[in-house]
Amino acid sequence: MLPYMIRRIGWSLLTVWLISLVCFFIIQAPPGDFVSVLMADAEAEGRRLSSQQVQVLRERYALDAPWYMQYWAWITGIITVGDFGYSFRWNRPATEVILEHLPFTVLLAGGSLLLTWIIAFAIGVFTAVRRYSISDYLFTFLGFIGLSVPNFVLALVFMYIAFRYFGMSVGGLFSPDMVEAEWSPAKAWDLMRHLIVPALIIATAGTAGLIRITRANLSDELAQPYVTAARARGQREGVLLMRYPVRAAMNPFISTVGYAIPSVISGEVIVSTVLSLPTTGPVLLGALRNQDMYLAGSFLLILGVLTVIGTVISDLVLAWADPRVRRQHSGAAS
Amino acid sequence: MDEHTVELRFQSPHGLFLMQLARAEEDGKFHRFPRHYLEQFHLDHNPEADQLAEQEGYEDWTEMFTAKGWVTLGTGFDSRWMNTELPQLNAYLIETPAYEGTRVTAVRNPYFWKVDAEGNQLPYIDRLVFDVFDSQEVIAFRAAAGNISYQDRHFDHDFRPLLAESMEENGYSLLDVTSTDMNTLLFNLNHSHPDEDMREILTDRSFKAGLSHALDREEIIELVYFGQGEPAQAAPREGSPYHHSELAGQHLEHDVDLADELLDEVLPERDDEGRRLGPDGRPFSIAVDVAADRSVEHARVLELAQGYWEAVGIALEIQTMDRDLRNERRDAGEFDVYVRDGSAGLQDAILRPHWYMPFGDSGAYAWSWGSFYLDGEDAGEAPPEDSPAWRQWEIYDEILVTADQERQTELMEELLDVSAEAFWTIGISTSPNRVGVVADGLRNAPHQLFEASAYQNPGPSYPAVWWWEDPEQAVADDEEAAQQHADDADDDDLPADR
Repeated sequence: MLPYMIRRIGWSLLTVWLISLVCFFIIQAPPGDFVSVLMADAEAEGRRLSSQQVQVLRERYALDAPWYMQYWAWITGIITVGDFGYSFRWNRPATEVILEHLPFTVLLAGGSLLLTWIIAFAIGVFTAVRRYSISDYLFTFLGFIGLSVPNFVLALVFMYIAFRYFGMSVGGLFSPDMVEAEWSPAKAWDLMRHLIVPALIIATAGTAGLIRITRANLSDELAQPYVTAARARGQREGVLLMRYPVRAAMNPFISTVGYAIPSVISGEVIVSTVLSLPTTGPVLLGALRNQDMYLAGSFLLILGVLTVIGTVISDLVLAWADPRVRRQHSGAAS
Repeated sequence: MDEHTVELRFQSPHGLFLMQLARAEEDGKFHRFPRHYLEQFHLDHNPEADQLAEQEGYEDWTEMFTAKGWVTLGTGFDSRWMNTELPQLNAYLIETPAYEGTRVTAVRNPYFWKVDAEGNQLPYIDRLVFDVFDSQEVIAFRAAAGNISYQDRHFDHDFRPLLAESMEENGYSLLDVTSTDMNTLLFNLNHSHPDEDMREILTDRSFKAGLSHALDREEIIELVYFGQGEPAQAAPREGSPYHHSELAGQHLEHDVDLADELLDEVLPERDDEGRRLGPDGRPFSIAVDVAADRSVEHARVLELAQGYWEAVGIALEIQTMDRDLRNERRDAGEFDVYVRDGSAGLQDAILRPHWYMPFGDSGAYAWSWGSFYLDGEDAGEAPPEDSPAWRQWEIYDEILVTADQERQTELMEELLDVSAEAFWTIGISTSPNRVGVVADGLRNAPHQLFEASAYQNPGPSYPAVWWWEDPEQAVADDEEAAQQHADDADDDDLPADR
């Protein structure tokens, strides 16, 4: 298994490097730069930046250098001292900006992933057992609705419902009078209430696929002779279901972790922007729109690394969880 | 002159001085740089300023000085709202600046120099709280839920019904915001087009007039602007001292025959399908650059315009693009038509006349001439000798050295006479009033006000004298923190008089 892991990690590193290169190039590709954004902002407010000011700003940010020089400075900073460069807009190191917004993002993304699994697992198992019943069709239908309605529409609809029928303060992660309060059970509860809606919205998009996979896998397992055999021995239906076929049908949950991370994060960007949550999503969008290139590049790089790590971990966990996969690999490696 | 009076002398009359002083970008030039605080950051007054800059992480002392007292790099925000240590004469001092979390707060300035008629120290309200949101929808929903005490910006017309619906239930009323914007959309035909044939057509007055008569403005107002606004060209609004009825009202009627007649003067040849042929013998078309991320309304207007102009044989090609790319193409002069909404329609028309004469590069129809006028030969090129721009510049130069306001208004009228003759841009309709919210218990807050970037609303409605009928109603109430701040301030000694 060791050579397999080494090869796997080697490829990952190469992928990460390519990701960084492509990210940086794409960020630089659109016309204009951060200073031209500043100029346009000033103009929208009826001010003007003189050509001298513009020149000073360009020099200050080293924007006149070719992109590969900028890339080199940026990537060596990251590798040697872990410095992700400077965010022009925030006037602070990019690392600081990202770290500041990370906790809520992890909370939201983790929550959404958990919710996706819970919903998908429950519905997946239920529909496999009650295949072709009315409730099967109903839940499958709901799952597909969740998949096909764009997140931002859901966010707007949820926002309206929360405002109109529940009288909640929408947007943000806290009620107005809680923003500056000290951490307390009441504040944590307030946070939970605000997190559940975005988490639910992000989760809806991912559940449909998982429901279908679980349903299909479990249906296959249920038709296996060992199920009939266990039933013949008088095993109770609930225990039987959970002990054998469900465990075998769980694999997709693990193997999709890698893909789930980027999809949850990109869902998070849209939903957080519409709902104005203080997570990394709106910051990333803002950085891209403002051509705040080091901040945007660092974000994309970190997302890329997370995805790669996620995929590697899911491979390894899968090998650990499923004896069949483990056998295969040790067979191949020995 | 005495302890409380300052006299300023100019080499030549400075006609717009007082008005310029009152507007946003120029305000406070006389009082915003407190020497006792800022001299430590200036090399002339502190030989160690460069070392200090290095310690604090700035390139050099100039950057440090700029950031401490003028504008913070990158954010482009005024240091008065970013540097919590900067002493100020304003009613409120910044407590938590932007870009630190999602909430910006300001607290009353205990040394504010104004008192009310009974001698009470102003401002009345202890603390201002601004929550920062990225999306307009969230702001609208929060306002509708009564979570915002006062807000006069960022509500699109679409939100009016939502806000009106929950008004009584959630204890706020709507305020009527009159923007100094004067037109919903201006077609800027490139008067310095690099292609000579094209330039000749785009600058031809009959061509512009023909396009203008082909537009059905009533229909546009009905379909895009919910029936709000009147057909209008780029001109100071009614109610402005500079309102010019000829400039505002010329070439507005929807008259396809007249449009055809005018266009026949410029492009008489047509092919079998009724398309007008350009000088090169091919169907004539113009391309319009529109920024996609800014205004959905503009895109809708252009789609309608496309239909109207097709009826008179002119093809319009809509190029939707990012704002940056659009500005870059404008600065390079590589466009046929550029669209934007028209600003500066009230008193500010005299300060920012760029929609009435070539003045800077914001008026894209003559970006190059405007830069020539403001920044000299290096920045742009001179217009042809017979261009009306020369006459307008002459008049404007005179306004700049005229102290008498009545005379200024007369001169402005003359200037606008020339604008009407030149017909620089083609407008659509007057900008409708917008909506804002104000909580019911917030007294002295305005229910009607003007809006312009030069005006800095709601500043002129005097927030220092706003007060809560019942302070408990204040939405983001954090009494303890405010009290704490007030106590801290009481302990400080007043700065010694010089």
